[in-house]
Amino acid sequence: MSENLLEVRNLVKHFTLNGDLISRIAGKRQTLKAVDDISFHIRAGETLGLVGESGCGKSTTGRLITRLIEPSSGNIEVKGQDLLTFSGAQMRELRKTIQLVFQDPYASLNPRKTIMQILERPLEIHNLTADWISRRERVLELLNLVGLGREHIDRYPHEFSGGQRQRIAIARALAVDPELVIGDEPVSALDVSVQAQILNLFRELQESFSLTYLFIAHDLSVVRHISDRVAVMYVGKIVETGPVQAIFTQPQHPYTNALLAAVPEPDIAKPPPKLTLQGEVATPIDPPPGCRLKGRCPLATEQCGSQSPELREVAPAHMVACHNI
Amino acid sequence: MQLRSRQRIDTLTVDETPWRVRMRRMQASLGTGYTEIRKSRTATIGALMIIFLLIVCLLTPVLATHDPIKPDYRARLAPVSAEHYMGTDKFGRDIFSRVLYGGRRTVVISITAVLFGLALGIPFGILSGYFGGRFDAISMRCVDGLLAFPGLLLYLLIVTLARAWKLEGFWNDLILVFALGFAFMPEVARLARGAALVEANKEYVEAAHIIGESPLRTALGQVLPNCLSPLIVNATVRLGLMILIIAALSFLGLGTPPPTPDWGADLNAAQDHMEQYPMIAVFPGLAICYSVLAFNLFGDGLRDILDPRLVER
Repeated sequence: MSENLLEVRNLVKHFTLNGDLISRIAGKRQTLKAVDDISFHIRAGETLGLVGESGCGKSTTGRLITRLIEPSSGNIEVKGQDLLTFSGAQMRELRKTIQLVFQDPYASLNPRKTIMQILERPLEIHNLTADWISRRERVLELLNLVGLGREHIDRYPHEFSGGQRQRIAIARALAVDPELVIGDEPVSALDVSVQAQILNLFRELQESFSLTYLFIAHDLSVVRHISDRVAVMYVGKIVETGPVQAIFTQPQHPYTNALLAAVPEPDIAKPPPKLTLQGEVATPIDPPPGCRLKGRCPLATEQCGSQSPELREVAPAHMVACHNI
Repeated sequence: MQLRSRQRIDTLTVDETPWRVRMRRMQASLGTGYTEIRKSRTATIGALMIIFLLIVCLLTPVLATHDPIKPDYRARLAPVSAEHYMGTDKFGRDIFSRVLYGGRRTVVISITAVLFGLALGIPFGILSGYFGGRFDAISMRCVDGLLAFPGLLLYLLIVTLARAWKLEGFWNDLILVFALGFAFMPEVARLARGAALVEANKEYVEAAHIIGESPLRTALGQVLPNCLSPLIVNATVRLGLMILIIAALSFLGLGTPPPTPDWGADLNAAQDHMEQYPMIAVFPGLAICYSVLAFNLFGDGLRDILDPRLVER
């Protein structure tokens, strides 16, 4: 369990914005720092929950790890191999190790393909099955795994509900028998009742196939339900990471505190949560030096304006990036 | 809650083969195609007209009462009668048979020309829309260049060249197909590119990358099937237009050399006797009207059926 399946070091992704004509002539390009120097690791068999607000770079992180987009700098190591140096053939091989489940099951399944066609492609590409009969057997088996029946195999995606589609997407990810599955907000597009079913499916599959998850979400209750460890992101940086219990019971970073305080209580008798942070989320476009939270933070000091805080260990395996903790 | 499928398909059968599955799916899609077309009156009428046209084209040798080319000088400029359903022209040739044989040729040429244009334009457009970048820029400038030529000028150029090479019969028709299809190509490429640009940004394309699909197969296997709706509509309407263009070229004397029956050429020949014998011109003209209308109605109906689907889901 101690082996790191995935190790991300100093990962950076900057997007250059085109901007308007005048700023382009003046040579002033704006840079959007979507992911700005983050490091984390995932051990084999565990689930890392990556939380943060919209636009904080968590989905970009998922896409970087699968190389859907190329990072600006940094290292991504899978089982000790740096996958940024991989050639096309090696990348194809890697697809068998890392799979991604997308957020929107309505968009991630090709509307013109039947379920059989969708699920047999990974098997064909990686030569996992010998002939059509065995492919069909395997597809039926995959459908069975995610709780769908054999009567679904020749239907089109539009004949399914959102939850069923997400099950199909999960089946596609499992087709190649991966080790690491990245869930890019895989339940946020679903109804709450369906969310629970899909989350339980994720758990069951993890137990049966000893999968490792990187679970990206903005819903704290979802993350709490499924994760072993949690990393909290704010505007391209990881501000706090630690075991799920520690994060939820003893949050250290002011941003994590604010996030947890903002979770709505399903009880109208309780007073609404008090906002601990003022103002708006900082913009990732050309951010000033120092801590990203400094304008909103109750603890902010002068040091926060000049020096970007590094992650420090405050308790075993519990790291916080703040000068004042 | 379980979703019910419209067709009850039994997948539990033992003797399952890809061929059977494909057949079942084709049957199902033919069934849905039929019900969809029945929803639009325009499309239904157009489809019936096209089916009638195609049957007549197929049965031409059976239906024709006379040899369309052999002149009969005893029956020149005969009126409509039981012997000559549509009368005869100035050489005594039976107009009914000429309209039938001319239609057969015209329909075959326009269908092959449209297919040729699609075969050239679709891969071109899809790839440039999907890959973008420099390839897209260069190929689209080429397409722009082609579009800058007025269509008729391009046909005239190619057909005149064919004349210079003294091509006859089949080869002449082939050149016509090439000219018409080539002129259709830029339009197809544009349409396909536009559709591919939209589709390339959808998540299922990323999903294809994730499972290790190669870019070329993603473009042609995943993106292309989603770009077909506007192309099908365009191609149907274009079929009608093709018939019109073929008639126009023959009218100008650039289609087929004289004895061959051809709607446009016959119209041109009928001009000489327009005042005394207007009926000679009426029938080829009606035939052109009918077939163009058939394809246009069907195309318009198809657009009504397919457009709400373009929104997807």
